[in-house]
Amino acid sequence: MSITTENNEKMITLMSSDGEEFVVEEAVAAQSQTIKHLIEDGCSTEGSIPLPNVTGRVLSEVIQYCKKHSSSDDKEEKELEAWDAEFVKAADDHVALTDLMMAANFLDIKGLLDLVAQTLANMITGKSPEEVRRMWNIKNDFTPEEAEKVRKENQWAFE
Amino acid sequence: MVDSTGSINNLPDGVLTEILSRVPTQKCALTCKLVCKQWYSLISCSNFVSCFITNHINPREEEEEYQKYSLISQAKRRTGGGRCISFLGSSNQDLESAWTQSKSTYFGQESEKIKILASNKDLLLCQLTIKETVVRSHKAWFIYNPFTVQWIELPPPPIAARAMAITCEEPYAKDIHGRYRRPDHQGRRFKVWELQEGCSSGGVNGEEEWLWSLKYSINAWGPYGGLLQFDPVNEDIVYLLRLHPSRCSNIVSFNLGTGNLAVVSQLSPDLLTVNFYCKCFLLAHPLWPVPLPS
Repeated sequence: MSITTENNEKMITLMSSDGEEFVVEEAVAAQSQTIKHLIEDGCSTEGSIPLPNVTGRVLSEVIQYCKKHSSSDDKEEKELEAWDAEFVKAADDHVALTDLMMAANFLDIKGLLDLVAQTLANMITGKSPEEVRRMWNIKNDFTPEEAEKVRKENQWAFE
Repeated sequence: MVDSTGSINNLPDGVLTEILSRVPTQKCALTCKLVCKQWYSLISCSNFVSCFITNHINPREEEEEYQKYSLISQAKRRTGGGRCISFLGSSNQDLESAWTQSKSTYFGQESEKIKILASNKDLLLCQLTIKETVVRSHKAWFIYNPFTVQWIELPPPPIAARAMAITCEEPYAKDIHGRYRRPDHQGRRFKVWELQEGCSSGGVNGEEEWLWSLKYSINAWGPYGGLLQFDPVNEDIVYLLRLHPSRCSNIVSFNLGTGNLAVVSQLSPDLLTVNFYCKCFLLAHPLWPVPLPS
């Protein structure tokens, strides 16, 4: 469904996996390469664009990011950086960020992908393997012998 | 994801690599290898290395294109004795200690029998020779990844190895005045040589001729030395071994275009004899191992 606003901005509707609909300016949505290609292929003319991999909660965050980044082309970089920092902080925790990462990957939004990947990498930094595992519920599938072997491989870096 | 359990391991491998390759240091990346097998194999993969480097290259460094690799030189006395490997580049000490330590961890006492045969960007091909008797020996080949500090043994060749060589027409050829010029035509000819049974592996005459030609171009050239390697990025630059029996021996870079000669590295003083061979290999980036955090 294509609606046009007063400013003559073309609007498109995005539908999340749980059926929530979001009406956004095309320029905002087109920051996602995936959506941009869908629009170019004419998928947006007949109703909303379904995004089966993204929940409404995550999609609203993504849209928030895209809005900020499409409206602030000429704004100072520093301000945008500060906004980005607040944005990932507000995303709450590593689980929410992981979901956001998944969405950024599916929607192909380079800036968001970089931002979230770096944030998650910073969370990993300085943690022991055990702490990282606890953080994400990762099962340690190394046998003690295997772990010892890996540790030996790395040994030189830790002396 | 609809059914997200919040675990990072639900992410596709490529996305997970994007995250893990952004940790600030190599030490940090190596720590992550211990988390689980999936992370271990992702970080061990050479794709990880290129992601890591891409994510850590300072845009300004990118301009200095050919600062981006390390040169390794390997020298050995022909009469036996120590083999000397040095890494030349911004982080050569880290590379060198990583190489020495991981080699002795992996091969134990055999580590002295490891020789670098070739390099391809970020990987080294190495050979281990184990003598069974005086005349019999067997060889094994390994790939060494300097970033992840890992050794991978290659399967043995399917047939008994024959002596083969591939030669490539030089990017420079001598013109009628005897000066080195880049040939006009694009592309280069490759030839595969196969050593017939019963032949010796001699025939270094071609090589000598090549060296003589270079001597012509370089005025300050001593009586001994040789071409080691063309620069992988800038073909105007060749690395040469300059030997002075009475003075210091070194590796110099020679710019065929401008004629500039610059010393890249001094060779270890205990190799001050012409009776050794020296080889040069290249690694794509001097950025790894990245300087370890203090």
